[in-house]
Formats: sequence, C-alpha cells, structure tokens
Amino acid sequence: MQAFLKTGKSSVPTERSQASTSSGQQSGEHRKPPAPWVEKYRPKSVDDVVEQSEVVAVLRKCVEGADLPNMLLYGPPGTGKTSTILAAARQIFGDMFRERILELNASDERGINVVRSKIKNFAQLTASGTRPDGRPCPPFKIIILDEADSMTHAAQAALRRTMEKESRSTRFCLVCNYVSRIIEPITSRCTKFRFKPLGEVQIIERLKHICKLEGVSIDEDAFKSIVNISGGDMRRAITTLQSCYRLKGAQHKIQTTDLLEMSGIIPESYLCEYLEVCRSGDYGKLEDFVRNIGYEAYSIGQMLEQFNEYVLRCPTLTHMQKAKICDKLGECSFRLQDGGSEYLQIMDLGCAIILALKEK
Amino acid sequence: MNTRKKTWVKSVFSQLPPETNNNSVASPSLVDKQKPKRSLRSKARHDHTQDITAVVNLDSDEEDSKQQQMESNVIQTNACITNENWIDLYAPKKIEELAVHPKKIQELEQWLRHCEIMKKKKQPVQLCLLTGPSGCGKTAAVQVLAKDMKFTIQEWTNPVDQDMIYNLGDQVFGESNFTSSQVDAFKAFLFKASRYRSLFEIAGNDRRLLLVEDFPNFLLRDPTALEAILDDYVIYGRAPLIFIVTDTKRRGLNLSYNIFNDQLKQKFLINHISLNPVAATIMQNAMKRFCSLMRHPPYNELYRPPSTDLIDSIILSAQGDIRNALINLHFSSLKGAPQLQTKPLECSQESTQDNSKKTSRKRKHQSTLKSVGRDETVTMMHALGRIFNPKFTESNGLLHAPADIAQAFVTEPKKFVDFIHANYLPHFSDIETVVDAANGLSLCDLILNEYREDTLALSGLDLGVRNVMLANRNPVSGWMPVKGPKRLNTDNASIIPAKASTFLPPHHNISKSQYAIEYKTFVNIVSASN
Amino acid sequence: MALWVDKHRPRELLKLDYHKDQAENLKNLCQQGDFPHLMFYGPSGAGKKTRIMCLLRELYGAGVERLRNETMTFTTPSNRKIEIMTVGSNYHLEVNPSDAGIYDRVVVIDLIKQVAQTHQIDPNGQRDFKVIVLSEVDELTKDAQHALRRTMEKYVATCRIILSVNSTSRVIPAIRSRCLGIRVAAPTPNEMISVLQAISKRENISLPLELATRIIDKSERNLRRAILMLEACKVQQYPFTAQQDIVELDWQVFLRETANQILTEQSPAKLEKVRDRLYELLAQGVPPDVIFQGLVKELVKNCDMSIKAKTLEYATLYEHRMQNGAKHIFHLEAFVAQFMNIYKKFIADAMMMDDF
Repeated sequence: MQAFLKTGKSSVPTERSQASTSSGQQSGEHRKPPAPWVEKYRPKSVDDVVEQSEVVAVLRKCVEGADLPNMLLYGPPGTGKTSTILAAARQIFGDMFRERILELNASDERGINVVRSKIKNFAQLTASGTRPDGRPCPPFKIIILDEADSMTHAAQAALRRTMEKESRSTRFCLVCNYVSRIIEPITSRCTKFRFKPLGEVQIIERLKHICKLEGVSIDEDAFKSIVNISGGDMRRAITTLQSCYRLKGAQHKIQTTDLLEMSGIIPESYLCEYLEVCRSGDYGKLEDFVRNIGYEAYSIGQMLEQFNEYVLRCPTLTHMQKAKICDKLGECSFRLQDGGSEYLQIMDLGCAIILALKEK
Repeated sequence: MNTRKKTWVKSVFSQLPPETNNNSVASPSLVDKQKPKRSLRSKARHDHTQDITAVVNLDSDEEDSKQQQMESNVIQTNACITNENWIDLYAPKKIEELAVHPKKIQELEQWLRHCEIMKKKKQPVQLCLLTGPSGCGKTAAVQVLAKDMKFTIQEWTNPVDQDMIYNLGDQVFGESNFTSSQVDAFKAFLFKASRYRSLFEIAGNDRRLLLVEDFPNFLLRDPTALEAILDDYVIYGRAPLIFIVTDTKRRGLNLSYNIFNDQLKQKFLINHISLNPVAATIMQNAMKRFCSLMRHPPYNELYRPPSTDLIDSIILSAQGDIRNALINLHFSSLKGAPQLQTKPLECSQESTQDNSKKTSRKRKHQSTLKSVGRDETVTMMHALGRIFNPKFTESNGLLHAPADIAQAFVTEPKKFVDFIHANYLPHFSDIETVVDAANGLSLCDLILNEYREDTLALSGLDLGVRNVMLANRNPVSGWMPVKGPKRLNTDNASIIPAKASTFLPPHHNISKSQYAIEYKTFVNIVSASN
Repeated sequence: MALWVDKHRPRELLKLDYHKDQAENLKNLCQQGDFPHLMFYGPSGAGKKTRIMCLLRELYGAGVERLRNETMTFTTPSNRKIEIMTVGSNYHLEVNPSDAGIYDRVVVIDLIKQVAQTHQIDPNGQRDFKVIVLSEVDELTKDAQHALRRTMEKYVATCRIILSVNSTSRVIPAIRSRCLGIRVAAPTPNEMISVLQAISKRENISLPLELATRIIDKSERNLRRAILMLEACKVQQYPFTAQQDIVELDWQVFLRETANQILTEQSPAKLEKVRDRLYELLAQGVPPDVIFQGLVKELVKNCDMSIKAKTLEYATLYEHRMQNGAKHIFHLEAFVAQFMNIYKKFIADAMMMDDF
C-alpha cells in the first residue's frame, strides 16, 4: 500500500508534510523542501472549492454520509478537478485517508497490466465500515485515476469489468481533460461532472489570499495580467505568481512587466509590427523582423498563438484577408508543433500575409 | 503402408549404387497387390453408405460406388508413381545429362582425379569449395561425377533431434553443452567417415568423398571454428572433402564470404569451383530430356508434356535455376486425366482453369517473359530496371504493376527506396518530371518512418515506386551503372578530430553539430597557425 | 591552447557581461529553499550554457568546476549498447541526449534514474538535490520528451533538471509548463562590442572599432561566433586593419555556392550534383534544418514575391516532412527539385516578357 503511494506523483509526499504542518508541527519544515504553493493552497475541504457548484453539492452529501457514485470529472486544466476529489476524500476518510485512496496519474505506468494487477488488487481489498477507534466510516475505497484520457483504450476496456465487479467496496473517480477520449462503456458507468473555467474574480480572490499569507508584494494591476496569462487555469496562475516571486525575491514588488517577461508572453508591439511589416510587402524587412524576434529569443509558437487572437481582433483586415491568414496560420502552427523550423514557418506565414494583403 | 515401408528401406541402402528404374518394375506388382485391398475397403465404405442412402436412391448409389472404385484405382496408379520422389526420377544419371557447363564439369573431374593422385603420393587430403546460385546443379554434379568415378559419398547432416531438445527448455547451461556436442559430432563425422569404411561398401574400394552441404550451426556462429577443425583434418583425414555453398545476395548469410575467406582458402589450398546459373540452351536440353521421360510409360499416364511455348517461358522464368524449372514443369504437365472421366463437371472446370492458366502464361511469355514461379525473388536490379524504364501496355497501363514490385520488397522497404533514390535521377530527362518523383520519394520516406503501423510499409513503398514510375514521362534510355546508396558516417570522432579537441576545453560537451557549424572553421584556422 | 571563447567565459553570475537583471534574478532563485526545474531558451551563442554554469557555481560553489568526463553506457530494449559522453562534477551532470539519435528515450530515462537514485554524497552540501543539465532538448524525439516529463516528476525529490533549448516551439507543452522558463536573448550589438573590446584588452591587442562592428555584423548576433571570428582574424592578420577580411564559416560559403549552382542550371543532372554537395554538408555534421534554412535564404534572393511565397510554401512542406522522416536528403532533394521547377518557369516567363 505504502509502496505504490510513493510511486504516485510528487503531490503525495508533500501532502503528507502538509498534513503535518497543518496540525501544528513545524519541525519537518526545514528538512523537507517547502511545498509548491499549488500543493500548499489546495482546497482543504469541499466547501473551499471555488465555483463548481454541482459537484460540490453532490460531494457535500457524500461527506455527510451518503453513498458516493463512480465519478468522471472533466474540464480544462487547473479548474480544481483533482483538488476537489482529494479534498472530498480527506473529509470522508479523515485520518484513514492514506489507506483508502489509490491515486494513479499519467506519470505512473498505467498500461493494461497495471489495470489488471495494481488496480484489481487494490479494488479487491475489503474496507470495513468502522475506523480503528470504532467510529463509523464509509465502507469503500476510492481509486483516483488522474489524467485518465491518456490511458490507452485497451487499459480503459480492462477497467470496465473491474469497475463493475468491485462496485461493492470500491468507487472510481476518473479525472480528465477531454471526456471524448474516455470510452463509452466507462462514461456510462460514471456520473459526469463538467468543471468550468474559473472566472477572473475567483482567481484574483484566491491569489490575493495567497499573497497575504506568503507576504508577496504585488501591484494591483498585476493580478489582472496573471489572469490573462493563465486563461482561467488556477494552477497556472498560482505557479506564475510563485515563479515570479522566486525570481524577483521577496523585496521586489511584482509588476505586470515582470509577469510578462516570466511567462514568455510576447509583447503586443511585436504582433503589431509583424502585420505592419507584411503590409509593406517588403520581403527584406520581413526577414529582418523575423531574425530580430529570433535574437530576442521569443518563441515563435507562442507568437503564432497570440497572433491568431490578434488577427481576429484586428479591425483593419477584411474578412477575406482574415480567412486567408488564419488558414495559413493554422497550417504553420501545426507544422511548428510537429517539429518544423521556426524560421521557415513564420516566413511562410509572412509571405502568405503579404499576398493576402496585396489583393484588396 | 507398403510403399512407405519400401522407401524407408531404400533410404538405408542409399550408399549402394542405386539400380536405375527398379521402381518401374516394382510398381505394377504393387498396384496389383493393393488394388483388392483398397477396393475391399471401398466396398466396405460403399456398404456403409448404402445403409444410409439406400432408401433414397439405390441405383444412383450403385453408380456412385462404381465411380468410387474407379477413382480409387486411378489414385492407386498415380500414387505409385508419385510416391517415388519425382525429383529423383529426373535427376541426371550420366555426365552428359548434367545441366552444368562442360568446362565446369571438367574442372570438377580434374580435381577428383587430382585427389586420387595426391592420395597415392600420400599427400594431405584435398579440399574443395563449390559455390553457385541455387539450383545450378552443384550437388547433382558432385553426385553424378562421384558415381561415375566410383567414389562413395558420405554426407553430413545436422543432428536435428539435439537441436530440438535443447531449444525446448530454454536452459542456459544447455547451450554450451549443445554447441560442444555438435562440434564433437561434426568432428567425429569428418574423421570417422574418412577413415573407416562403411559395411555396405564394396570391398577394396576405398574411394570415399565427404560432402558438407548442411553447415553445422556452430560454424555460422563462429566462422573461425572451421579453421581449427580443418587444421586437424588436413593431418588425419583420408578422404577429399567438398563443401557446397549456395550463393546468396545477403552478405550476412553468404557463407562463402563469411566462412571461406581468402585467407582460409590460401591456407588449406581449397580449390574453389564456382558455377554459374544454368544457361538457357543447357536448360532447354535438360527440359527436352524431362519431357521425353514424361512421354515414356508409366509416366505418360500421369504427365502430358506442355507446349514448347510454355516450356520456353518456364526456362526464362527460372532464371538459371534448374530445380525451379523442373518444379514448374512438373506441375504444369501433371494431368488429371483419369479424374476427367469420372467427374466430368469438375474436369471441365479444371480444364478451363488449366487452359486459362496456360493462356495467361502464354500471354505473359509472349509479351513480357514474365516469370511463372520465381516471382518473389525478382532481383533488386531487375526491379530497379522496371522502375526506371517503365513500360506500358497497349491499354496504357503499366506493364509491371508498382504494387507487385512494392510487394516483392516489402520486407526491406528502406533499403529498396535508398537504391531507388540513389539511382533515379540519371533516368530523368527533365526537371519538371523529377519534381513528382522526388516528391513521391519524400512522402515515401515519411510514411516508412512510421514504424507503429506495419501495413504502412507496403503503401509507402507502393507510393514511392508508383510516383517514380509514372513521373518519368520520357525516360532516358541506355545502360547506367547502379550505384549503392550513400552512407553518412556521423560519429562524434569523425566530426571532431583529435587534433581539434586540444583546442577545446578538456571537459567540453560540444555536440557534433554544434562543432560543425560553429567551431570547425575557426578551430582549423587557429590550429593551422600553431 | 584554449580558445578565447572558453578562456574568457564569465564564471560567476554577477560577472556576466549583459542581462544583469536576469543574473540578479537567478541569484535570488538560488537563495530560496526550493529550486524548480529550469529551461533556458534563446538563440545559439546567446550565453545559455555560460549562465547555466554560473548558476551551478552559485548553487554549489567552486566544486562544480572540478569537471570530469565520463562515458555512460545504456542498453536499448533491443539490446544495443549506446555510449554517451557526459561531463559532470560531484554535483551535476551534463549530457546531450540527442546524440543518441533514435534511442534518446532510453538515455533520458536511464540517465535520470541513475543520477536520481544516487543521493548527494556530501552530507555538508547545502543542497539535497543534484542537477542534470540536458542540452539541445528541442532535438529530442517526442517520445523522449514525454519520457522526460514523467521522469522529471518522479525524481523531483533528488534531482533538478536544467534544460537548454534553442527553440521552445519544439518542446512539448507538458515540459514547458513544468519548468521555469529563462529567456536568454541574444546580446545587442553594443553589448557584443564591449565584450569583444574587453577580451582584446585582456589579450593585450588593440581592436579597431570598425573591425569589431564588422565582425558583429557577420556574426548574426552570435557572441560565440563573434569571439571565434575575432581570434581567427587575429591569427590571420595582426595588427588589425579596419578593412581586413573576416573569416567566414566554410559551410556557409559552401552552401551559398550550392545555392548559386541551383540558380545557374535546372536539370536532373544538376540536381544530382547538388545532392552530392548536400551529402557533403550532412557528412560534415551540419544539421539538416540549418542547411534547409540557409538554402532558402540564399535561393529567394533573386526572385519576385510570388516565387518567394511559393518557395517558402514548399520549403515549409518539405522541412516538416524532413523532421518526421528518416532520410533527410530525400526531402532536401525534393525541395530543390521543386524550386528548380518553379525557377525554370519563372526564368522562361521573364524571357518571354523581354521578347515583347
């Protein structure tokens, strides 16, 4: 039991240390590296979970003693899927949390063999209805499969029987980004909960809370840019904040510019310039511009991503031009992600834009 | 049962000079013996079937049984001929019948005589290496010559049973055991067979000849082992030793290259006789002999020699492999004649099938001389030729389907594509046409690189071949040498020379590409000045 | 004997010549208890490796400069032995896993495992983790990158990974999101000039400003290249004159000649000659994507806009295929064939126009 908990992702040991710190023990702190803020500020109880009302309502019932269904939690990254189920489990099992949970994520070997051995073995353990101290406790275990959409279909299919057979003593909770990658027989056995991207207000509220506890000095405007960078992803927002804090040191007041620099976001002036260079129709200028952006070490992949937004919003382009540019943009982005050369892709796009802008 | 027993007995006496055609004498009696037995059994079967079907239709049943009886007779006569190994039947018995070039036969004969002389002079035994492509008559030549010159052949065969035992349970210790025992067995064969005579041997004849065609596995693993064995054999052996090795295209499998290197040949003065593929004229004569054999009783019952056109196409397709030609001839001339009478419907079907086969073959022969039997072994060179000089049929289709060519090389697609790539450009006359071919090859490489899907190899190869063939609208004709694909040697050491590394920090981690594009020029200049 | 580029490499964060703010930030990072995985990204010759070494020194002290070479052996699933050269100290290990070619996945996994499972030997060391420096991670296969992502998580307790990449676009998002990205932009021309001048001063040579400017123009904002050029110039002619020849990279010259050959004649025979030249470049160890990029730059020089656009369209197509294919020459050749075809038509059209 302990052995495979260790193979779980890094969150498990930190969770443990966190549990000890929350109970007032500070001794382990200097020996263990401090937990990342993402782990440190995970919601402790179901009620702490931000926004996702439906699932919170169901889980609250379970915490109060109702039976827990098999669950499939899906939604974009950083919306609290894993946090929610972990918090619920901790509330349900209390200090028996460790024995009653098997958490596996994509970093573990999770082929069909693991489903056949590890998961089955864990599922077959019986869970008693009482705690060691005699208090009642729900008579089941939870298997959490994080990033379930990266499991092979064969492994998912193997899971299907286990889910059914062991339903008496085991609940499954699958967590994934894309529900379409989970095979039908599994989805039909689970209650599905969709997690929505978090709103600006909730993220800022949480960030402010963290800043207060950690003593981070930060510009008020900077919160907004963190939200922009993260795109509704709470984990990314917190990570960005922490990285920035680490880099700049405690004395520094975090500014929007620091955040942009940190996150690798390309300043909008570059996007503007790119379009202008293309408008001039001068290949030489385009070449210079592209070379320059390379010297500045900006990522072309990021650039294309942002440029897509920029083109869509750009008022000076006709619909036809936008269509042509976006067509090429998509192709270039794909090739770039697939290993194509940055220089060639962005030059190709530039040429296509030049041609698109020429024909009015 | 009876016939099987007979062949078993025969095999034991294989060392005796076989009486030619003793089978033809035996066969009629065999048929006689067996006929009643079989018909009895068929009668029993008949009775049995009657029990069931009698109610339905007695008359037809009666007829049926008759038919069955006839059928079984036919089968019997056929069986007695086919049971005898038909390849043996056609095997050459005299030197004149050998489908080997007379000069080569002479060479071999001289070597055998030379052996005799050397033996009388008490010189060490002679060794000979006989190589040639498959089916060029290596073994047959040795056997016929040996018989002619009254040598007794003793041949080594790999002990199969041992192999089985040790490979079944994969014990680790078994392997060493196994190799040593096989080495011992091989040595024992060589020395005993050359020194002690067989019980069946005619007294006073000590002309023996050892033949190794079936190479023991340990030699394949460790080619140097042979040298040690031969060292001993030259001293203790008494009989000349012949190695027969079939040429293969693959270097890794080529025994004559791997085991019998020049050094070894020098050391033991191994006489190397290399045979060529059977020439068309010699093959024709051989085919004539086969056909005449077929026309003689009792074989004329079974065979109907095919038309000369078909024979020609068989000869062409065999590409100098007489064994292959014989197999093709055998199957194309088998007639199902007796069956025709009893089962008219099937017979007609069969005959049309036969006809269609023949006509299709004929057509192939007339138009392309396309091979009948050895299709899969189109050589790389042939295939390249077909690709680079695409020929079209009257209906504007490709004469050699790209799919067929691709199929033939699907086991090593990358190598084949490399060859196409290395050689295709000179066959194109115009850059416009090259574009499609180059594009096809690039796509082909992309698809072949996807290793996770097996079927992609075929479709990728097909795509490449097809593109190169179709793109070439006006090919440059004429003979061009085929070049092998280039190999890039990109070792770290070959790119960062030792001299240069004295200029780099002692513990650097500069990658080869970084060195090539950043450092090389400057390091060369700086090092030249020092 | 050491080249100037190594001799005058800064060894401490605060002695770096440019990006001083960033150096300050890195120093801050070292002072904190937890240290994330890092990814240094920027163009070639911007100083990524230099910064990484300075950072390691900041982390562990001068001990990281006691380097030693070590050859590690890895066994692939198909039982092939691969040897990889590594450079390391007691505290860190530096590897270029892309040297292993298609077996890079095995190297990545085994390497990190081996390092992570041997704990820090020095009990007094202030860090309880080792550092693995992986260079050219963008050249790794996707497979290896996914493996890297998983191992990164698994052994986070005992080792940290510092990646050095040229282009982040080729690094999978999962790795990017697990690392703190450090952007290392190329130095500005002025910064480069001051570096060159500082080096000249230490070497006791006088460097005319004009020559320095010309070197920097040629160096494509690559500081390593600029310093190497300076040293080569010194070897060829000293004292310096402002107008003296600057050594060019021979592969660039060779590539330019190849491009000119393509422009002079468009025929299958020429294509075959071009192929031989490309083989030559590949055999020298010039990476195929660099060849591709250089070819395109040279070829489009004399075309009009529509031809340029078409050329780039084909270039992107074949370059992409090349990255996913096995035989680089196939795709380079296909691109050259396409270009020859377009260019031939373009020339023919231009001739027609002249006739009228």
